[in-house]
Amino acid sequence: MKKCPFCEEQIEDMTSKCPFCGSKIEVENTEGDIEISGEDSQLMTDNRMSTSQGDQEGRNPLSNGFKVFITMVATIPLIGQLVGIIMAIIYMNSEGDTDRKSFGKALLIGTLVIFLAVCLCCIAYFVFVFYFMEQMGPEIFEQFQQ
Amino acid sequence: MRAFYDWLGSLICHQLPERSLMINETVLPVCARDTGIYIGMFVSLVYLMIKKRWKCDKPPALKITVILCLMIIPMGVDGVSSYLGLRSTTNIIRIITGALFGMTLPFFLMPIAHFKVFAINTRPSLIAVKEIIIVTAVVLIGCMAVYMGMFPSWWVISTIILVTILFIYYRLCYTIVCQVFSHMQKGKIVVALLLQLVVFSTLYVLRYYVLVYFL
Repeated sequence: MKKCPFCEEQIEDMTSKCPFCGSKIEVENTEGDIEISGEDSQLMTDNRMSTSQGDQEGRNPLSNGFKVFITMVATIPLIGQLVGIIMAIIYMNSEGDTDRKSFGKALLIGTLVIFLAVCLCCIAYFVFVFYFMEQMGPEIFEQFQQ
Repeated sequence: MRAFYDWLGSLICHQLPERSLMINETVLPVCARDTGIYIGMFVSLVYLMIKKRWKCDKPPALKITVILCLMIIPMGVDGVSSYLGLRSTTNIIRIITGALFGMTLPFFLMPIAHFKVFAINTRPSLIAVKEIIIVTAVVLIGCMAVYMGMFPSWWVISTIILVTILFIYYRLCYTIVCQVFSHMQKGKIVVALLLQLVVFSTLYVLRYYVLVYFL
């Protein structure tokens, strides 16, 4: 076992990517010393600023249309919100890609807000159904069930 | 004091007696499903506190996220199918499915406020699948204890539920404030509390001035 140079969690000796912080790690010599790849060496600062080079090479930013589409999907009760959470987590774990991380964060916040709103709306739905059941009589309620 | 508990529960729950649980022959301030939800949230929050991950800044890995999302599905299916009249459900099913849903939310909600877009996030809220198993076991034991009336005090359970309600809504407001006012150095907590007050005021108006005409 060895320590990740970025988050200092215990990781396997031969792993090339830390499972906790997602940083790339290269193991070069036989004594097991950890060496950092050149594009990641600039991460060894006190501020731990994310690299903008290695992880973003060849990766296009998300289009606004795609972001709007995913956001609209996330408004669909239950299924849409589960999709929204999973997509948000995928993007939030994209270390080094600020566009995806930023969108993922906003998407997760929006999805959680919609989750709570849907739970509260169930109360209103319940009240309306009870009201119409009482007012319109059992015949209408049977038609509603059909 | 009990009237205050019931009033606060009425803002977020229908409080139908036949769908609520009782402790010492006193109805809890929220229904069975909401009881499960907030017990689940409470256990997850306590777990984060015990594991010293209160200031976590990284959401769970994808595999763990998928497992947590699968745990949300039972409550959705139970709620939708029963509201549409496709099947009838019981309080034991409501409290268990609600607890499975509630225990997942803190692991997503807590890291967001401290999540850094322009730096590496290193403190995940959940690390291993076995942690989900541990939290689920504790949540289910707690829910069964409440359902079977094994808790001696109505006040303890009600206080747990209501404190969790207040904290979760505060945390969500705080997360939104951190996102919108990211450059604000001080005063985020105060703004979050004000936002929470607006939210609960809106719920109060909806509950006592709109929905009341239909009850």
